[in-house]
Amino acid sequence: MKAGKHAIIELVKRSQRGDEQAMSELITMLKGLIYTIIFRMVKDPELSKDLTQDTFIRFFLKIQKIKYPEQTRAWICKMARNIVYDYYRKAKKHETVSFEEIPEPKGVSGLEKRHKKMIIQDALARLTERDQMLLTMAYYEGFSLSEVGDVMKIPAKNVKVYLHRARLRLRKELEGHKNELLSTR
Amino acid sequence: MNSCPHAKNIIAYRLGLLNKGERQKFEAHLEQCSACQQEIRLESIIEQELATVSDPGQIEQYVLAAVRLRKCAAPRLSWLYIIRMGVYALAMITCALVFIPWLLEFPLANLFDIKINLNLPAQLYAFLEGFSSPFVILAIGLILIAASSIYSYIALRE
Ligand SMILES: [Zn+2]
Repeated sequence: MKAGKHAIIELVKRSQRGDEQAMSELITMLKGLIYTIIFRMVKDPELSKDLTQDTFIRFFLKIQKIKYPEQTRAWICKMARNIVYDYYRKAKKHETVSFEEIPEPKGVSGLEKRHKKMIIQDALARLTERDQMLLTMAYYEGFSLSEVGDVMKIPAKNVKVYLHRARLRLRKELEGHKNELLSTR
Repeated sequence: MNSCPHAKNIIAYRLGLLNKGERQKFEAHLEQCSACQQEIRLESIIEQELATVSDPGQIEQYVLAAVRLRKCAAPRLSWLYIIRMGVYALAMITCALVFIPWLLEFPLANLFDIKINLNLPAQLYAFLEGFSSPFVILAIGLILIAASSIYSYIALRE
């Protein structure tokens, strides 16, 4: 779902007044982004769903503190990251989980696409959490470089340089899968 | 990557990081190099996947219910806190103002003179005797109230 900035600002203002319809729409609008950021960090679908819910709960409990609604997306992304870090601090262990259960993206079907998706997700999983988050946000529709820079704590003008390095690292992880990814049967 | 020396420019090209001259040079090369064309296709497959977000399913109702619950739990918690503090304070005041004087003036305490029976040094006896003064009793009460408040505050934060 496209997350227009103006729509978000409006929804945040209504949510701050306690409008549950607006809160629900806000979740619908941002849940894919938040879930994907978390999933690429924790690699477990069920856990990712729980942590996504926790992120939104914390978000709404603190929504009164939002002074600049235009920074909402950056704010909730940071929150998601902190939720994951908090979880790891408590769990104090990384578990490896298979990619069998990756939820099917809407409109995509077929083993072929699923297989390609797994290869890329697998490579992504081997990057640092920082790279994963940077890549997820940067390719999310409508995210500006300054928003990405805000979350990642890098100047907006350097975001593309960081992105370039992250892409090179991802490409390196995919070395050896080139033919599989390019195959069209 | 691949054997073509130009392949290292591909991601920079996709990100728009090449300057005008570099870009034109690369585009001219791209038209004739099948290895780089293939690499571009690969990068666009990767980008597509990066841009694909997964759906966690229905979470709206759960989140709203949890937020509602926490919002009404919050004031109830503070009422609980006040009631609990009050109970502790009352218990401590009772203790301090009733129990300690009662203990000190308990007939048995007079009957069996502490000084003789326990063979306490005179200084310690004077010290113990000091506790019977109302001012000291009040001070002990206040300390106990403060301690119970701190305790219940910590207990509730858990
Ligand atoms: Zn080439």
